[in-house]
Amino acid sequence: MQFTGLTLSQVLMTLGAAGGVTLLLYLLRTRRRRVQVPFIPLWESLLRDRRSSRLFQSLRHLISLLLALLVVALLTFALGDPRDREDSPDVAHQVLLIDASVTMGATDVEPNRLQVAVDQARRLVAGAGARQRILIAQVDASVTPLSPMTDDPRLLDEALDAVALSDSGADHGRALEFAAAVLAGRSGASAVLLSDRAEPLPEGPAVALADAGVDLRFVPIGRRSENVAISAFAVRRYPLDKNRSELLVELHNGSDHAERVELTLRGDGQTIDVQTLELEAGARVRRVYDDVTGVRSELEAELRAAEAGHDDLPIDDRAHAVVPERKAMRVLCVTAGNRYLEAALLLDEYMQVDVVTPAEYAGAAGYDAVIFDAARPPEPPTVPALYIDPGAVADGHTPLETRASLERPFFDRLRRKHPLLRFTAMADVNIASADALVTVPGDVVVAADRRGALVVAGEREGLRFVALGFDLRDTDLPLRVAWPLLLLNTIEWFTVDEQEQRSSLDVGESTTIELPAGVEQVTHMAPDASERTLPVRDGRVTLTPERVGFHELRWPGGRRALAAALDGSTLRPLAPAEAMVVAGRAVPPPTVPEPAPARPPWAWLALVAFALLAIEWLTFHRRWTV
Amino acid sequence: MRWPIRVRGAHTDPADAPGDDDLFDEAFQKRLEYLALVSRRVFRGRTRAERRSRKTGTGVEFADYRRYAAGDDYRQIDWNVYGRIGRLMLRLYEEEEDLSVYILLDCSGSMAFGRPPKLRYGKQLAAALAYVALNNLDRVSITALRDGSAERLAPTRGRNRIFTVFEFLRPLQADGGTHLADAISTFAAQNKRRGVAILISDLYDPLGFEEPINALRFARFETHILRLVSPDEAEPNLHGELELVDSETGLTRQVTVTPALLARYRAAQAERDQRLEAFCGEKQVGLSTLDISVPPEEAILNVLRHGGLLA
Repeated sequence: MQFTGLTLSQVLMTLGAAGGVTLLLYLLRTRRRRVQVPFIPLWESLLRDRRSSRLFQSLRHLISLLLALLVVALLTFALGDPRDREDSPDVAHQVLLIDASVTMGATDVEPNRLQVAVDQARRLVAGAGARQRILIAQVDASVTPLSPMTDDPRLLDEALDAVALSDSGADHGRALEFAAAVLAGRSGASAVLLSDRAEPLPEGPAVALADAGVDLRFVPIGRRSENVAISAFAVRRYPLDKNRSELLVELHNGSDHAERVELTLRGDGQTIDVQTLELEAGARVRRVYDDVTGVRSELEAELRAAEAGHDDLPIDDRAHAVVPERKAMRVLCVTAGNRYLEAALLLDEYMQVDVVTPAEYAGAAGYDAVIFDAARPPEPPTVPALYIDPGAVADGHTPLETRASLERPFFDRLRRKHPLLRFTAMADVNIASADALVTVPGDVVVAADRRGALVVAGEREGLRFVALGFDLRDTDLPLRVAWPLLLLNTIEWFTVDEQEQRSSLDVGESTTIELPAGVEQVTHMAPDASERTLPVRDGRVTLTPERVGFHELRWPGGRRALAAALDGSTLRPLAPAEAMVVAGRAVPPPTVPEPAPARPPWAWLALVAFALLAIEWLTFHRRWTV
Repeated sequence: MRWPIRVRGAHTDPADAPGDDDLFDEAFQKRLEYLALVSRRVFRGRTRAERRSRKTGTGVEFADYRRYAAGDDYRQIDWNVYGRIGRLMLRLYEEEEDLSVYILLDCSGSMAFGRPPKLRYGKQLAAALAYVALNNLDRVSITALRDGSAERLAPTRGRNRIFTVFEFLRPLQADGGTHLADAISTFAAQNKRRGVAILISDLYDPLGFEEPINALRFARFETHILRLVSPDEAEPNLHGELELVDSETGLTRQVTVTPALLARYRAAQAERDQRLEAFCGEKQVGLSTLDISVPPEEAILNVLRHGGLLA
């Protein structure tokens, strides 16, 4: 027995105080009223007969007082809300895991899958016995417990009311690990997962459940899969013409029949394209808009059925993206004179280039990147650096040492997926001679002759660098398109955060944004126009979007738009799971007992107290106990 | 400002009690004028009145014959009888005489009980009886009994003396003990002339009701008891833990009133009533029990008439 309301000491203190008051009231009640009678000897003759029963009278008075004290004690203990101890072997414990991920918003069941799951959970709660404790948790990208482990129907009802649809996916593994952790060591442990998904469990959660002795049950939610979705939506700027953008839209028809849909594209709120597409059952269709101009920031795609059709999940009919910001860069070029290099640097109008000779070089403070052409700085630079032919000079700092000179090397090995080589073709570049670069662990060889590395990328003390082991003028690379691309890719790799180039974030994915110096407060405006203030730490703010749509961060003198999209892993067919398999065994559904009124012990105590009060009242007014 | 003192079961607040100025109204007096006080015995009166006496004398109503004796008034000899039987017989006539009516009013503390207080009710009865008696040219005396003493209004006669009666009754208050036997002994010593004694009381005497009644009988008064009863004392509305206070002695008793105790109280009351009636019947004493909730006019006109006190 344990008290879940007042503590034992509080119960005892209340009992003492209330008992004292009861005793006082009792004494007041038994103070006799004075009543005049005309002839008391007549009463005396009667009282003489009653003296023999005085002892019994006193006893009856005592019984009345004891009844009152018993009522007080019962009510006081009821305030303590006594329950069976949690570790009592008779008490069963259950965790209800309610999937509130984005697909639970599907309307193939009325009103939607989530509400059906909540109703099922409500039935389980209503059927729970007096010796059953339940904890309710919402499952989406994370697990959120909404109630304590309790048998209080009011708390459980409030928890079920608090379950809200999320725009993220569901992490069942994490949810079941949570259930195993909560139920570990508890008697009668069971977990019920109410979901429309039933992926095979990873080994970790399955083992955790088995170790905790948890009886897992599964309630499948959902009826069918009729859904057409925008499964991908992304935009990027062209590397060589950042005024232009390229847009990718992918549509997926998850239904078992063809659908005719209308796709609308909007840029900064203005409609820029409308297309009608025919989607076969199960088909994925991609559309690339290769020349999206005039859009400053926000892009939105909306899908609608061109004909009367049914779409069970409306939320994936819209997608949002933000065109990556263009950022002006300052580059310092340290060279004794290299026309090819300087000409390539002029291609990007958003790049401000300063050229100095090696003798004039006095540091790169204030620049975003520095290029050393046949030159070495006396000290390591404080910004990312490109070293071209570092072996040409002997003195100064270089991140890489050079080895023997190679005659007519070729790019035998190219790391084509490296950002430096994006959109380039360098396999047939002719090089007269080059120095082989000596790498250290952690360096990435981007291009190499079989005799040694020719292009290396890496980091030194947190700063990126790229080294070319040859003089441009000893190659035909400057005559190729690949040269300015390689140079601009290098500058971009130095200065542009990959994160900033993404047109949208996944819901639930955190991103950290650098803020201008002096910004101490950032306001976040969510797609539903709600606002909240985000903390700023070390000049950065971290945002984790929870809703699909455009998010905006504002601070004094600036703003940043971000788009949040559904996690790609959630955009799978809507088909509901029929069964869940763990360790080769189908998880059975829970038994839903008939709703039984589970009256907590305090209610019984109060009932007994009121019954005693009624008896005391009756006996008092019937003059049995007075 | 004067706060009323309310004690359950008693009515001691003077402001709450009706005033004594309205003991009679005019209509009430008119109705009483037609009533006559009767007595089953005839007592000798000192002066002529409207009541027959056993004393033969100068009246006009023939009463009896008796043999002539020396010294008799030979004017009363019936010569016709002498002619028929040859003996001298004297005609006797009933002489009409006045009657002494003694009204004894219990003024002990217990007479303050009831609504209206029993004393007020008793005053009205006494005044009414006195009025009727005076109206019939009887002699009326009123005695207030309290603490064993008897404060009295000397015998008086004549209709206009009713105001003297009122003046005597009006200031009487219910206080003190009862001790009826002592008070009646004092009364008997004060009043040698026998007559009708009407005792108005609740008969709540700690020494019992027998002794006072016997005191009247032994003094050869024709005794009538008007016993006043309040509904509150016959059916007391009491329950619970109480401290009973005797309205006369101030004596207290703690009691738990239950339905069973009330039943026993009622049984004790009934047994006492029965004993009183049996005693009065045995001793040929008139007894009338009057409920003070009944208006006094009705009591006087109906109850007393049926009881034989009024003609």
